[in-house]
Amino acid sequence: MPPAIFIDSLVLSSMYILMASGLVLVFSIMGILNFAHGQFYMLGAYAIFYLFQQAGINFFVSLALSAAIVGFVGILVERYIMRPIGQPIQVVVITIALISVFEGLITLIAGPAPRSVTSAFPGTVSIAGVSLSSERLATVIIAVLLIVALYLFIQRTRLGLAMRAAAQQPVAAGLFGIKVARVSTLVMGIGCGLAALAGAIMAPMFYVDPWIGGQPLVMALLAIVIGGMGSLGGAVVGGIVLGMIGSIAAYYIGFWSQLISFGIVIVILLFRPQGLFGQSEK
Amino acid sequence: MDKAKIKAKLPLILLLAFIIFTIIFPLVVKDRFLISILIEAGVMCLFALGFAAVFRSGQFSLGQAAFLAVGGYTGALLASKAGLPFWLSLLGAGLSSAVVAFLLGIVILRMGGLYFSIATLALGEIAIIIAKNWDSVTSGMTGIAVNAPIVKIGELSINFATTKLPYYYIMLLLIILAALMFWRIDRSRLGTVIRSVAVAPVMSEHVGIHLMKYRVIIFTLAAFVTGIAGAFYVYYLSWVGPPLFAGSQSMVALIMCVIGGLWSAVSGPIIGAIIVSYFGTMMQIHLEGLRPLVFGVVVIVMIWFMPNGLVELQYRFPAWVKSLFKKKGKVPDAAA
Repeated sequence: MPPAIFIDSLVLSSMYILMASGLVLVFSIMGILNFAHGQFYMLGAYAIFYLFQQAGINFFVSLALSAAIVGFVGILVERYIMRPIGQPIQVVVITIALISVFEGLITLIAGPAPRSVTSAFPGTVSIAGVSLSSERLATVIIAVLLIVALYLFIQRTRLGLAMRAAAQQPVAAGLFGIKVARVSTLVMGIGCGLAALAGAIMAPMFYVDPWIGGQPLVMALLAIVIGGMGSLGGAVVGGIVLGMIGSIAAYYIGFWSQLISFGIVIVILLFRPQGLFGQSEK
Repeated sequence: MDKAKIKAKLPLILLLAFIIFTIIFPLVVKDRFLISILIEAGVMCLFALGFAAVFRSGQFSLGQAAFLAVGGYTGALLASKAGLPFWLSLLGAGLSSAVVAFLLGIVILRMGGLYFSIATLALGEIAIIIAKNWDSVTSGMTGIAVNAPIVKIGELSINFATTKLPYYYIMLLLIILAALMFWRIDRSRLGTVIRSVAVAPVMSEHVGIHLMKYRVIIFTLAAFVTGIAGAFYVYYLSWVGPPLFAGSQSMVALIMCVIGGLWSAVSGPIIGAIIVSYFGTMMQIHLEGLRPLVFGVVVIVMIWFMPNGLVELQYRFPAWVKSLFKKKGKVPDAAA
C-alpha cells in the first residue's frame, strides 16, 4: 500500500471523526440527530472560502473565525428554532427543513458553481524518504489536535463536567445547579463549530459547493453507530474504520468499497447492536 | 334524522363527498399539468402511508426509498423483460418488496430505535449503489425504459400512452385501498398492539406481546404498499433509474407525515403528501432558485404554528370559529 493512500485514509478519518463527534455531542445532550449537521460542514467550507481565499486572512485565524461564526449560527438555531418547538420528532423535521434552508441560502449568496480554495500548505515534505503532501499532513495534525482539545475540554474542565452530567442525568444535573438548557445551547454551538472546522480544513482538498454536506453527514451517522451511540471514543473508532475502508479498500477494489462501508455497519450492528464501544464508555 | 345522528355520520359523509370530488375533478378540470402533479402526489401518498405505518410502530426508517426502488425495478423488469401485464407486475413489485422487507426486517428490526434508522439509511444507500453498478440487471445510470401499458377490461382496452387519466384513477384506487387497509389495521386489535409496541416496548413485552412479530408485520405491509407505489411510479414515468430513489426521499416522507399530522394513521400522511408535493412542485416552477430556501422556511413555520400537523386543524378550527362568535356576542354568558 502506498503511503499516500494511508495519509488519504487518515484525512478521511479525521473528517469523519470531527463530524461524528459534533453529532454525538448534540445527540447525547439533546437526544436528537441533527440532520442539518452536514450543512454546517458546508457553511464552514464557505466561511473558509470567503475569509481565507477572498479576504486573505491568515489560515488559522480564518479557521477560528469560521468555527465561531458557524457555531454562533448553531446557537441561534438551537435557541430560537429548536428549543421553542421542543418535541423530538418535530425538531428532527426542523433539522431536515434546515438542510434546504441552508443550501438555498448559500446558493443565493455564493451561486451554485463549485469553488476551490487554495492550499495554505503547498508542496510536499519527505519523511524517511517518503514524500507526502504537506497539506494532507497538516490537515491530519490539525484534526488530531482538535480532537485532543475536545477530549480535554470534556474530561478536564468544569464546563465539560456539566456537559457530561447533563447528558447522563438531565434532571439530576438541573437539581445540582447546572443550567441544562444553557448547556445544550452551548453544545449545539460546539457541535456545529466542529462540523464547520471539518468543512474548513477539508475545503482546500475538495471543491466547495452548496451540496457537499450530504456525504459527510451519512458517513458521520455510520461512524457513530459503529463506535456506539453517545460516546466520543466510539466516534473516533468509527471514523477511523470508515476512513480506512473509504480509501484503502477503494484503492484495491474500487467503487464497490462503498458497499463495504455500508455493509460493515449492518454487520457490526447485528453482532454488537450497541456499537463496538457502546457499553464500556457509559 | 336527529342532529346527533347526523353529527355522528358527518365524517363519513365528508369522506364520501371528498372521494366523489376526486373522481369528478379531472373530468371538470382539464388541466393536464395539474393532473400529472396530482398523480405524482398520489405516489408520494402511498409512500408516506407506508412510512407513517412503520413510524407509528415506533421505528423511524431512513431507507423506505429502498423499497420504492425494489418495487420500481421489479415492476420495470417484469414489464419489459418478462412482459407481464400491468396489474400482475404491480402485484409482483409489491410482493418482491414485501419479501425483501420481511427478510431484512427479521434481522434489522432487532436493533430498534436509532440503530434501526441508521441501518435502514445504510440499506437505502446500498440499494442505490447496487442500482447504479449492477449493469446487467439495472442498466446503471441509463436505467430501464418501460412501455406504457395497455389494460384490457373485457372488450375495452385502454392505452396509457395516449392519456394520463387512467393513471389518475388507478392511483386513486390504490390510495383508497391502501388507506382502507391501514385504517382498518389502526382500528383493529393489531393497531392497538402496534401502538403499544411503539409507546412502551418494555411494558408490551411484559404483557406477552412479541415485539418483533408486530414490527415485522407492519414493516412488511408498508414495504408492500411502497413497492406497488414504486412500480406505479415507474410505469407512469416510463423509466426507472437510480435518481428516482435518492435517500432524501425518505426524509421528504417524514416531512409530509409531520406536516399532515402523525396522530392519524391515514388522513395525516395523505393530506401532508398532497400538500407538500403540490406546493413543492409549484414552488419549483415559480421560484426556481429560491425554491429550497422558501420550502425549508415554510416547513419550519408550519411546524412552528402547527406542531401536530394539519390534521390538528379539525379541532382547532371549530374552536377558533366559536371564539369569534363569543367575542361578537354583546351579552356575555353569565353562567360561563
